Amino acid sequence: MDLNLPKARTLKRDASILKRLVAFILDLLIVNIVIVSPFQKVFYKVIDPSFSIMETINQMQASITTGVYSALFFIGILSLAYFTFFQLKIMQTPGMMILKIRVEGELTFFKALLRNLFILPFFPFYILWIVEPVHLLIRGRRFLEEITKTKTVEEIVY
Amino acid sequence: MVKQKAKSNNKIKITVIILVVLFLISWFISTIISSFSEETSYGNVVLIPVKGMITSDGVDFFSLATTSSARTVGKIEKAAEDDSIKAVLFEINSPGGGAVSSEEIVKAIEELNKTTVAWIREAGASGAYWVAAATDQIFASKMSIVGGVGVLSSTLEFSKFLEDHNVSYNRLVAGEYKDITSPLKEMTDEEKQLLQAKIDLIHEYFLQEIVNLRNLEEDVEKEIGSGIFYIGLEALDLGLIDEIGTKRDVIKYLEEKLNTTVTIKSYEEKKSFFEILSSLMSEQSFHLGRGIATFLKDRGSIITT
Repeated sequence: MDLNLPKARTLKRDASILKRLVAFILDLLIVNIVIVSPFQKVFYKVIDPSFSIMETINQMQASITTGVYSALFFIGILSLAYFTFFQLKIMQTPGMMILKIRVEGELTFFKALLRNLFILPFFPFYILWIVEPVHLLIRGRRFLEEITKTKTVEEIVY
Repeated sequence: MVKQKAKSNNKIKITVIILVVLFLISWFISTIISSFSEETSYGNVVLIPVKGMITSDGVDFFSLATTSSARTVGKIEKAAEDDSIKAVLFEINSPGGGAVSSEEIVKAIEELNKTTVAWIREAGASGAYWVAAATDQIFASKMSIVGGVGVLSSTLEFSKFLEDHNVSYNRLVAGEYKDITSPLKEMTDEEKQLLQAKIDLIHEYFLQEIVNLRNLEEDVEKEIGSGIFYIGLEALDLGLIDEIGTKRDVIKYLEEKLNTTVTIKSYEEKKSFFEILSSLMSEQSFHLGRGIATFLKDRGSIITT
């Protein structure tokens, strides 16, 4: 029986900074479990756990191991892949799904890759760690989102 | 509603697939990096093991432990160049080995300009004792086997066996003593004397080295020259070792000597894939052979005495 109820309406607006931040933290937690944890065996092999941080840093400066840098490089690439493929396929990462926010805009593979370059933990991309949050606070969008003509929105159904 | 549910299911499916793929790729890459990464261990005293027979190449026969003099000398040279290393500790559990290979290690220790300590465990005999004697301080347990300052060159002779089985040995040599140690012929008295003289020469050199390294008295020199082994307590009385002690005592000694906390590290040798495979196969073959022999023996197919 059709009750002729009014249709649900969806209000779309830019996702709040708080939601975006929480979603990002959740994604980082997932990345830590899925991508970073398998690399722990590399770190345990080259870093003596009984040494203090300062001793470890001093020793690392004396004989920098390729293993650590290789591990960091691949963690960066795989993290980038995480954000890129999720946003490309379903316009959301798992963190964004939980917070009910998503990416809006025409996303190609290149655009998805570009908008997430800030993830990479090496030069020159870590400059974006300053540029992105500043741009977000001032303009309501990240710098890379502006370049790729995409934005992060939330939908409120009422 | 149905459409939304299908869309939701599709999202979950894609999420799971991407996460699983990323995890597998991470695991695979981390395994490769880990296998190529050198293990970095920190410490100011390096522990160098001398276990099993001392040989030049440390060939792994039937997965029995051997010590390669070449690799051991390499580790000693590495310790010499490593400024973070203040002392070298030799963990010895060996019945000895080749004369030349033992001497190679001894000479490397003598050239090392750092504190050296030998810690004899079950056995430090013959060439292994020579290595210990080259260090600054020797620790052993009360029941450790120490000494055995002698030379062994005994062989099996199958000439009578061949004769009993109508097998003859056609001797064709250029150089009268070329086949002096051949097990297929009976050794003549003259040949025995010749070999004995050479063994005596090696023994004399070996004994003199030990006497010089340990500053032994003449009476002790005469006694140990018989080739007999001693237990730790006896060795202490004779001056063949310096102290009875465990690893803890060795560390305490080093800490007092170096006036600092001691952290032990070791130079691990990474086996290549083929070395691992080879030792695994030799171990498997050994146990297979032993199993077959046991089976046949139980069935009475092999006569044992």
